[in-house]
Amino acid sequence: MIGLDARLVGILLSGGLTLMAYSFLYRENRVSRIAEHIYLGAATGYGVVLSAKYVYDNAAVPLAKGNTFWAIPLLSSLLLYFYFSKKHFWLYRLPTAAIIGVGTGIVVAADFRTRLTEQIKATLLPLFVANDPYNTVNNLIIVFGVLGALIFFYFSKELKGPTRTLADFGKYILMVTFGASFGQTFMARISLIIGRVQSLYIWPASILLPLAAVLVGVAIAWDRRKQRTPRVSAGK
Amino acid sequence: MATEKDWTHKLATIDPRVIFLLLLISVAAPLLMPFGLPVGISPPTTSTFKFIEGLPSGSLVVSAFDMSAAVAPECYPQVAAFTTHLKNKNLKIIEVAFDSAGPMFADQALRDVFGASKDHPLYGKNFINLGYIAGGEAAMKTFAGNPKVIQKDFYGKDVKDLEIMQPLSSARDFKLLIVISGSQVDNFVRQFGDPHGVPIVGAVTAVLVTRVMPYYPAKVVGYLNGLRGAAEYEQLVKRPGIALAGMDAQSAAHLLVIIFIIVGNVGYIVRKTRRPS
Amino acid sequence: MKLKVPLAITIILVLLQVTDYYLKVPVINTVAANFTVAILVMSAIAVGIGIISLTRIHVRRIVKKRPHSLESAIMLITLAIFILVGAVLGSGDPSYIYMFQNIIVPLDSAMFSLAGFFMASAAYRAFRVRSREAMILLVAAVIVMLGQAPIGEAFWSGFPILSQWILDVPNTGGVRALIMGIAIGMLSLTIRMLMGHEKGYLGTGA
Repeated sequence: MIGLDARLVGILLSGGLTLMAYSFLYRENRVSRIAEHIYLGAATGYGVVLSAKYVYDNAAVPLAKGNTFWAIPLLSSLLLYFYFSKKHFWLYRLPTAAIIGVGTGIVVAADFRTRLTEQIKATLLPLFVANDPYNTVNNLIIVFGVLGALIFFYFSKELKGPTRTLADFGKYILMVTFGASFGQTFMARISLIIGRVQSLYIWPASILLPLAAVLVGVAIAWDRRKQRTPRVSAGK
Repeated sequence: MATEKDWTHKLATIDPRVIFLLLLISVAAPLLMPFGLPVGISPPTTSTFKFIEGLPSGSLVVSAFDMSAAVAPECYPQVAAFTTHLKNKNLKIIEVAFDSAGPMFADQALRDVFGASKDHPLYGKNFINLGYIAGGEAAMKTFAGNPKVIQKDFYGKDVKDLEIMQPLSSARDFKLLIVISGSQVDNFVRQFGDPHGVPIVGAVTAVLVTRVMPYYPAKVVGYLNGLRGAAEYEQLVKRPGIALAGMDAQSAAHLLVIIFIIVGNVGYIVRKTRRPS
Repeated sequence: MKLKVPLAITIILVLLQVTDYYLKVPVINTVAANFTVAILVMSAIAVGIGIISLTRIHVRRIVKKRPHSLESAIMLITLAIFILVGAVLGSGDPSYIYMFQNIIVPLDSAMFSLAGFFMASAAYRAFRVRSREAMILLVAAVIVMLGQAPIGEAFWSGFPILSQWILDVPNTGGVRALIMGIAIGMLSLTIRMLMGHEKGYLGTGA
């Protein structure tokens, strides 16, 4: 169990690292770069540990217990490291081709159903719903919105007449989509800022806030002084 | 025409750091001095709540963590809220991760809601953290076809003898799949929803909501819309937390950006009308 | 040979997985499942390539005393600490979880949240109503932002309803068209791979 002291140190550490990353907002500086590099090292190291654990638990241990099937992926994976060899680079292509082949096959087989045929089915909506003008209008917008947006991206031939009108409707539907996407994306980013600021309010991370404010004030004063002091060029 | 001293020029060339500071104040101030605006419950959150509420006691629910640490401030409050609901309904929870950061949040959720994770007496009977399965969508396909493909859980325990894993033969045994994601839900619909008919709930970041909509409500029966969705769910499970506390800051920040957009456009329109044709 | 064999492997495995999805033939299903399970392990081992490349770049920076070599040293030390502690204690150990929660989570979410500040600045500087399309985009964005925050409901109870309608109806139409387009694109890319025209994934010289 982590003791209370360690918990307080953790909060301080977390707050300090947050403020180091946020110093980038004033301007790019060594402190924010250090924070980025700590993150890079930590996240990469963590990813390695989790991947290694997966390989150990699910391949190495069963192989040690006698399940020889696992020798095949373990040995073929070693060919991946010929990526670093100029002479034998082609060996790297063998396991890569297998990974890409399986991955692509899994996705495309299912995608044809999920993102194409099922979506076509979902778009086959009644264009008139008796005694329900609200859903009638909604269905019309969805059906013609999908058709219009798809036609909008048809560039092989100039669109004229009704197809042009439909494409224009599709374009406006796409604008609404992008607007909604912007609103949602902004909401998401603000939520992350809220999360970080909430963590900074927890004791003892909160003692870092006035310290950070003072440091920013010093940086602003320093920059202003540098701007006002004229540079004396050599030779004059 | 606009000159350097013209107010429209000053507005257009304002230092971006002033904008950053104003945004920071708009987030920080309401967290210290909340104004307590009521948070309504949206239909997708209600759908999610009702679906879980309708599950019989003892049903198997899978929480699939496909989230990175970056989206934790948005997604973790959702996880805490719905895990509370799953506990209150006495549902069996299998936590699995398809992103390497997932198992950590799965563990944190168990500790926050049940008080302990691997050391809890009900671990292995009522809930389990299977840890990370590498391979992305290939991992999802494998797990959906045979959940017992995992040998050990996140803490290194053998899973094959654990009570909660016994009745599992495929994803068809899951009564619900809760996807916690910041990147996509399409892969879960492809590998769990369509082939196995598993109902899916999305505990997703706000960015992802627009991409969930084509599957809602046929495949994705409900979703939680970012931090707002977490705040709504906290109210429904009567467990107010950091999501609800953050809603005033969300309001202030949204209002500020709308004001920025309006002010920016006012300056633009005035400059445009002044320009000689 | 050095290109034809990998291409053949890709083609065979793509066809195997597609056949496995649509047909219930026990032999094919078993072979496809075995390949899938093997690939999971191979993908995990492939992470090592990234680590080696990253280490090489940063060690070279330190040895040649290039700018930011201090940051590179810090990165390598942090990498080593996380790998060693994880290897010795295990990823499920409370100490390792502590390191994750207090180092990776705050940094990852802080850096991701920086985009929010730049979005606000961009919204102020660049979000201009230059055309009808821009106006529609702007209005939709404002309605969604007001609808999703409690303050919108405080101004007018219709904002959340309008915002939800935008997500449910026009957004669904637009996104559905986009994902159908992506699916068609994915299909055409796969056909190109099966015909051997798409070789970029095989690295340099392909």
